[in-house]
Amino acid sequence: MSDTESIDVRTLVADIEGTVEQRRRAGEYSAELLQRLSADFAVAASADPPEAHAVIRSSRALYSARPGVGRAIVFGKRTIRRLTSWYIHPITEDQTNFNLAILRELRALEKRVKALEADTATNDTRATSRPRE
Amino acid sequence: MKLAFVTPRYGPDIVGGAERLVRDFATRLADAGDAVEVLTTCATSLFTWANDLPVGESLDGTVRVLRFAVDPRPSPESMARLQPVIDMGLELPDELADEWLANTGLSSSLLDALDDVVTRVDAIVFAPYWVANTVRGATRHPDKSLIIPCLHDEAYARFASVQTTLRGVAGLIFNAEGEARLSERLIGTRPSRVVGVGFDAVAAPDVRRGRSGVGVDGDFVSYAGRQEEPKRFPLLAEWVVGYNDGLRRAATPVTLAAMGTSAWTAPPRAAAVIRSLGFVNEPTKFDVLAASVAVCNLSRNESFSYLVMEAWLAATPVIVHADADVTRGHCEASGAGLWVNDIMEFSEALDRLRGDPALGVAMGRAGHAFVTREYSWAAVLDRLHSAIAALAA
Repeated sequence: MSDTESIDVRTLVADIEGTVEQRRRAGEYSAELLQRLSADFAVAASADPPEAHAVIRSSRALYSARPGVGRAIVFGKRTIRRLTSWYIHPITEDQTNFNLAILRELRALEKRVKALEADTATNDTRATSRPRE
Repeated sequence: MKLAFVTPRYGPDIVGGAERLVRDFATRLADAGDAVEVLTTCATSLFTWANDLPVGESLDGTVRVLRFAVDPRPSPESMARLQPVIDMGLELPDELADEWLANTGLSSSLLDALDDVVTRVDAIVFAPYWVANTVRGATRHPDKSLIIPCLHDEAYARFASVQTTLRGVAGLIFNAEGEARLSERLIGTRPSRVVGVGFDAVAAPDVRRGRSGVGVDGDFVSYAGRQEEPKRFPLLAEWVVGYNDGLRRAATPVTLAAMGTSAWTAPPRAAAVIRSLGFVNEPTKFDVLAASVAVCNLSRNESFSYLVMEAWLAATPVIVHADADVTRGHCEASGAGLWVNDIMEFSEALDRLRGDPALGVAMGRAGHAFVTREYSWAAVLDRLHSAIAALAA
């Protein structure tokens, strides 16, 4: 095209959208590639339900892989854990309470949405099965 | 005309869109003969709000600058506590929103000074919308207060106290039509004008120097600005990877030349296509923009987009996201950019520009003509004068 022509970008964008739609229908876009991109660029998310992570533990199993001095290291870690538990434990309790409260609200909402969807589906069935006058 | 601008930070070294805009307006209006003063704080950082600069009066050219100390923040920890909630897109209850606002550089002495300033100026112009001095200051003398909000579609724009302030002032001055439409959706129709941001002509960029600066043999697209999630830089990287890995029809892949700071750790596949140039000076930036097939900005959080205008000053077409009201509006108005919904459309648009160089040249020229016509400083200052006269009358 000539570089002195004015550009009708709306038409150009519509043409691009049309071409993409045609190629999409023709199966030209690799689903495998798109899934791989989504996986590569996705923010890491857990597959577990949120309840699995709602209760925060303030202590974990202690271990050391160092031969010889391992027992002493574990003893040291346990001492530090006990010394800081007055500070850490209330924080984890607060976080657990918040997590459980928000989950309770979310699950209640989920039930209401499901009930509404079921009602809507029933009404739709009735409407379509009603004989036309 | 006698004007006072109120902005949280001010100075030649301050980085920030609204701050840059206020300084440009203030210095150019003063050069044009208006009596301009700026009321600002001693802070230079939006994160610490520490009083880094001395309290008092100074001159920035012919602009009188009055600096006031930021009050001790009532609860600095609340920013750390509430910011992640805001960033997740959750709405804060009013009391928490106000707590967050109270920690954004509030200066009681600056607010008190407004009572004196209002007696000697025709209008007080606040920017941006989301800081405490705007939210509280613009309600003190609303009939003489105007706000340049630099509005984005974000959580702060839905805070009740923010919306009350925006609704209560004499008028709003927007940077783009898309921003005005967003404002109407959020707070309804208010007295307002669209003014925009001005640009000086740039020396003709050197395409060859731009290519050698990027240091790749093939085609490249470019981006300049913060490389972070809110600006959707990761999405751009993903789309370039997808284009290279199989969605393109062109024979060769492209590189993504990225200028600016990075707050994002790129996955290995993205790192392989990004040529990170870090901070570059203005001539280098324009050389790289001019040598690009297209300049890409997929961000939706734009009240204007300096990058799009700078691309057009370099006579390069842009690719923006179809959901981004402001940048898409610029493209529709200029005929110098394409808007895309997804990675497939992005790839197709890029293929069109690479396959038809004359199309890119014509779009680049249209963009250059658009910026020169609509956003020369003469045109912008003319609109700004008219807006202030009409809204603060």
